[in-house]
Amino acid sequence: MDIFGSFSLLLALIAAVYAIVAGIIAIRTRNPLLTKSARHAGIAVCLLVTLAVACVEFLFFTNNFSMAYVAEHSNRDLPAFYKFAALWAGQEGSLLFWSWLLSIYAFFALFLNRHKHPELMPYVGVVLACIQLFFLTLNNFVANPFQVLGHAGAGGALTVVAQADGHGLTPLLQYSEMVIHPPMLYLGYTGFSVPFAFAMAALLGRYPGEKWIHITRRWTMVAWGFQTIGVLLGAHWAYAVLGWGGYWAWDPVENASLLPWITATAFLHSVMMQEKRGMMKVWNVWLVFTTFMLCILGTLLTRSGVVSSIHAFAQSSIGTWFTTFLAIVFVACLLAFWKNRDYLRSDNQLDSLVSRESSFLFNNLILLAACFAVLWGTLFPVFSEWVQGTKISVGPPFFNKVNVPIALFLLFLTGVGPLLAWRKTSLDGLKRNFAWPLAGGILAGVIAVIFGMRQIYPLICLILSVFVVLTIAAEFWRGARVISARSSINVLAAMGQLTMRNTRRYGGYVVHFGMVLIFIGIAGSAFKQDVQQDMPPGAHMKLGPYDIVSQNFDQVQTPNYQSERATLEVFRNGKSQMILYPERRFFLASQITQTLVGIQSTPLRDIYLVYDGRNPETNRPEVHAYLNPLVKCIWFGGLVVVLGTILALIPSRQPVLVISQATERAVASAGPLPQPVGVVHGQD
Amino acid sequence: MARIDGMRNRAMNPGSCHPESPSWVRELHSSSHLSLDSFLSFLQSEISNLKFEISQAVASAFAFALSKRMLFAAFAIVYALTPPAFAQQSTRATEIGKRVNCMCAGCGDSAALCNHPGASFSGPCDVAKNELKQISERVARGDSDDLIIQSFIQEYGTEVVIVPEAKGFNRWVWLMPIVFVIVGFFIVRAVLQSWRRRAAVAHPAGVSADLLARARHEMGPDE
Repeated sequence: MDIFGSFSLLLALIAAVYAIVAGIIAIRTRNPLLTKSARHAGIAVCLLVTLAVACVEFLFFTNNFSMAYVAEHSNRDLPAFYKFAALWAGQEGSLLFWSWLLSIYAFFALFLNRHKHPELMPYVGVVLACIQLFFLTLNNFVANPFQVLGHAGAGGALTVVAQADGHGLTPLLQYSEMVIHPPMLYLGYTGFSVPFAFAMAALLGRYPGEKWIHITRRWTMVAWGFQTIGVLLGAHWAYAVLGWGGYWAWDPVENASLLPWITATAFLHSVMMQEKRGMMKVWNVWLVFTTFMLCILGTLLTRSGVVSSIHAFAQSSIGTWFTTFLAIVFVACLLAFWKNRDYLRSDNQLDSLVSRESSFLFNNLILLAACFAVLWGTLFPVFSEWVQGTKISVGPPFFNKVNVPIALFLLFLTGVGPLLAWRKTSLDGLKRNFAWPLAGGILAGVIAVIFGMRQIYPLICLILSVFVVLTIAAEFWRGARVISARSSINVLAAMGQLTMRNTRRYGGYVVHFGMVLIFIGIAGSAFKQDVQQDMPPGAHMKLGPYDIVSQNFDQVQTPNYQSERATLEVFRNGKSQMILYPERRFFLASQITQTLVGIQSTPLRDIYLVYDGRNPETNRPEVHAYLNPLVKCIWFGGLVVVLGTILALIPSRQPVLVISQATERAVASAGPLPQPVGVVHGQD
Repeated sequence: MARIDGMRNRAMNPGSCHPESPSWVRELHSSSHLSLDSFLSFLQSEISNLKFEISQAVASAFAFALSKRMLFAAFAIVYALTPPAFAQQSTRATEIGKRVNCMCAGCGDSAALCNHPGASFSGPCDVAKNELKQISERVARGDSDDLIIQSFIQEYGTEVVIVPEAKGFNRWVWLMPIVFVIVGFFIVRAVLQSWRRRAAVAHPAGVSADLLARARHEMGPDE
């Protein structure tokens, strides 16, 4: 099976090379048959890589411990879904997984557009095949997952040695999110290849019109959505399983996943400028390029160990490959841009609506500033070592200090931007749009101060959040009221209709609303409390309004691990609220201990209990209890963001004109008709 | 209000990025790394404008949103209020513990905040606990904060400090984000101005907005 997998990987490499060569010739000669053949080669890559992935999975499930990768990341007693997920537990498998997801994206990009854009698609195919070529080279020659364990026998013949059992999957990875978080993040990372390919293709092929930007926007949104889910799941993982008490530690790998997300966010905003006004073309192309390069950089940071990280996945020579690839991509972008820069000239039909443009420019400036600050802080230790030869650390305080003001300013623009953007900006209009939201925000701030909130950043965050939410609500309300007045339906139904008429705009508002929730959740961390003390059975602990009583400690034995579990009852005002079971697991195969946190999550606050084990000094069990306010807002906000993204991906229904409405009514009176699907969606 | 004042005092520390800090400006001047006199004079003039602009903002709260200059001023104000937004009340030893890294090379957290699940015991791992113990001893001995940090640097190297002090080359870790925003701001302003200029020239010959909208409409919906 390993040989079969190896061969399919090799064939995939050859198919990718063929797709590039045939694609280039097809572009030169405009031979339709060759174009088709190149496209099929691109699709074949997907099939072959899928086969290779299936082989790895097969080897995992058959416990083939003669395979280095399987022996390293699995063991006999590992539960089945972790065996499945072990594919992306190590370097070789992760890179294969990268290739696979990329090939799936390529498949859809090529297959869905097979009858469309005949001028554009051959270029797209070639660019995608080039990216695939790089990763397949790594899969085949640098980090091959199909290496067998063995030693050279007499005459150089390889003797395969199978281990009796594998080392097992790292306990840190044995958590249900392991099955879903890396794929989501990888779907984000690889997904940005498609917009990159389209941007590059449009530039190289000098594809006329703004059509490519419509296509690119969709693919970017898909990748952006996955990246959002991936980042938040990672945060949740850190929060729920690692017992670090927090969800974001500004670790280099976390930062790496945030960077392309930020530039993609900038692109999703500035793309409107090109669509509506034919401006900022150069900027957009470079945002797409940068996003893709940041994805590669992210993989480089994750994989090479250039910067030290909790995730410390690997310390290997693979960094050189990625650095080289990154350099090649950068030069290719530069050349493509320089050769075709006249193609990107702005149309520049500008009305006097300066505020509309400027709001987008400022949005982009601030997003890029955040991106730059994160990148700079992440890479600064590397620069420092080059320049002054000393190792330094740039830790969380730097990122908080720099990014909190930037984030708050961004929040402010979230409220202001959309209103400036779509209104002819007269001072009266501004007053009308802003007066109530602003008053609401300030009122919320005053109330918060009265109730004893004194920290400045959370206060600003609260005021701005209320302001933004009210502006969004006002937008929905105004639009819905017009519709409900005109077509005599209730306001809620009108809101659904309104949303479906312009899913991009209102989906965007929903995403903004979700982001506000996330901001509120993050601001809540300013009011965190924690207590750490010995908790022998019967002991009490006071945590905010709660009283925690230690009940007992028991032990559980499974084939995979043995665990010690605390039973802690939480009281409030003398009434029992819940029982939580924080746990420590000792994994037998890897001989590593892992904490499992006991969390009771309510919309307002999480009770977060970590069982620390026995205090070495007193030999009594110790518990670390946290009261984390508003954390649930972050996860819920993430859900809202994803729903908003999905909403924005649904094509808008054509605006219902008065005449067609009349016809509809006539039909409706003739007999009951099923509701259009879109409307049902809009009411969710 | 007392707490906010406290924050301001913190902001005056040399390690912070407070743009009004005189020591910061002095350091900038004396630095051999910088030849950014023009940038500095801009900064100073902007800051002197700040007060005036704040009063303006109060007068016209809505024009606030429109004026790019005010956007910048707002940004500067927010930036100046240096955080500890995510800090919590605790003893001096813990505060110092937050300024040094846990050196177990696994968690990437500060010694005070380390919660690494260690081999036998989680919570602060053994390395972090040891560091915290060292700090407590020195605090009890009456050493100053800086002295304690210095002793850590001697023992573990410069990477023990969680964020480098803004001295020498390390100053750039704080400066570059600010420079980025300021330069970006000027680029944005230049771009806006050039658009406005070009718009004035190009408009008479341009296609009417209605025609353009119709053309776009006839191109069909997305994809």
